[in-house]
Amino acid sequence: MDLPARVVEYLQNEFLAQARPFCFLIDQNYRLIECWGHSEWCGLRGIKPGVDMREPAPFLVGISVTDSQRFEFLEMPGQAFVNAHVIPDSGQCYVVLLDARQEHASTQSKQQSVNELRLMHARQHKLIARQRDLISELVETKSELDHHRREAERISANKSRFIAMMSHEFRTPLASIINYADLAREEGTSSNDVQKSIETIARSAKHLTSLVEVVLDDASLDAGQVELVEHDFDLVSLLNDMAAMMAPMAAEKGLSFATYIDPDVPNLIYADEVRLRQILINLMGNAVKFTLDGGVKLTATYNDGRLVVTVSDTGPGISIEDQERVFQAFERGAGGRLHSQRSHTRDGRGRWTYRECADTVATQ
Amino acid sequence: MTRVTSKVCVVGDFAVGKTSVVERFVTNQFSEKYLSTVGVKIDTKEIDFPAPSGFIYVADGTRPDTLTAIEHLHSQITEKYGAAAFVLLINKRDLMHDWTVSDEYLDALSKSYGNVYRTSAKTGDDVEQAITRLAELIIDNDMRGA
Ligand SMILES: Nc1nc2c(ncn2[C@@H]2O[C@H](COP(=O)(O)OP(=O)(O)O)[C@@H](O)[C@H]2O)c(=O)[nH]1
Ligand SMILES: [Mg+2]
Repeated sequence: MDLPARVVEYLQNEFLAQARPFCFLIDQNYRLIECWGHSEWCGLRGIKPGVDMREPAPFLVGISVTDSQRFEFLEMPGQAFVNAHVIPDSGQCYVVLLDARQEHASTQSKQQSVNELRLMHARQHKLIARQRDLISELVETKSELDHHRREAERISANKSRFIAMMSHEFRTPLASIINYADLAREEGTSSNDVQKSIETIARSAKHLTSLVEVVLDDASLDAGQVELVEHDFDLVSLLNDMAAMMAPMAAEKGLSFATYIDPDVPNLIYADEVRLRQILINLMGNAVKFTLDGGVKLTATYNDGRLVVTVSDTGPGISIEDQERVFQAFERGAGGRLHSQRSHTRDGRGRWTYRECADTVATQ
Repeated sequence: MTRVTSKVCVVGDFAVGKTSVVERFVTNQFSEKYLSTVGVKIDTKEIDFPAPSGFIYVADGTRPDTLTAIEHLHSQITEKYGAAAFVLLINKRDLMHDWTVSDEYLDALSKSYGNVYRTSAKTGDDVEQAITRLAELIIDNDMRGA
């Protein structure tokens, strides 16, 4: 059923007042034929018949004048927003512009809020991503710091171990000095023996001095390396020294002590004298310490350019398994990987170093 | 000199700088203020929009999703209008420090699309070059068509 005529009339007037239609008629070439209504509000004031309407109303460019079309929110000169209706009529075409300024303003503000919200979200996402990056950077830095801390702890532990080891090494030459001093002091000791004692004391003292130098040089130990200081020295006299130092200690425990130096062993060798002395003193020191009866023997042979010095004893010995453990390094290689197997046997710590030294000396 | 009037469609995600690029090209001005444009939308297919002579695709270098949107739009446009002339503007070059699209991706885009420009509506960098290039492409197409 149709609406009452009065209502239709009312609505028509209401719509016309709101939409303020401006209507113009153009030909196929977009030239103005005639126009109706108010044109000021949509920026088309003073247009004359014959004018190409694509100039004042650029949206017409490329538009077919034979199809019905409508466009929403077209911006006209003077920032007026219109809804445009293109209505073809037998070769000509009506164009009706309706005022859409209010509708545009409210749509625009709604769209603006939505867009701003979306932009904000995008920015937030970006910030969160950046935060995540920063956090993972922090985590990385922390693990680096942890690594450095562990490294520092490791070095400090190494130092403590080193100090424990060194004090152990100091004991043998000190004991030798005390022994020979006692011997020299004893009444009835021949002046020849006194002389010998003094020489042994001097050598032990010299060795202690070298050890002190090693302690001062412990930076090299932090790096996990033993640096060799090599020079030519008299090997045979070093071995004799060792024998002279150890023999009285063995005798005191009622042990026999023998030295065998193969005639092939060269007098002069090129090696690290301090380290070799250190190794032998410790091997022999331990041999004497842990042998309850029988004896200790120092043997040196020379084969194919390799010097083999053997310390053997009749003590309890070290089981193959324990030997493994005794000689197991605390750490291996430059990578600084920690080995789980650490030797905590009484003499294990000591032996580790000697083995390392022995290897180093031997391969030179 | 001959005047050629062409209808060019500027497409791209919201707030990538379409209005700003056109404003820079037409009036050589720029405003920091964002005022969203309300109007005919090309991706609303129901609207019987006359075939434009060319397209200006605009993306925002600081928002990678706006480039993905272009790839989408491009395939829709190609489907509807065939191989039209176009240039691709990756805008907001002045904010390059905040760009999240990789150079490799842009290089790949340049290879497959051709005519990719890194522009700034703010400083005006490459805006004119890009749009002038589009004009050349349109004229080339017209001459080939004629
Ligand atoms: N820094 C910078 N901002 C820009 C650039 N182009 C546009 N903008 C800003 O980005 C926002 C959106 O621009 P607008 O042209 O309205 O984007 P549209 O929605 O694609 O039309 C506005 O705040 C502009 O000021 C540019 O090259 N550099
Ligand atoms: Mg805009």
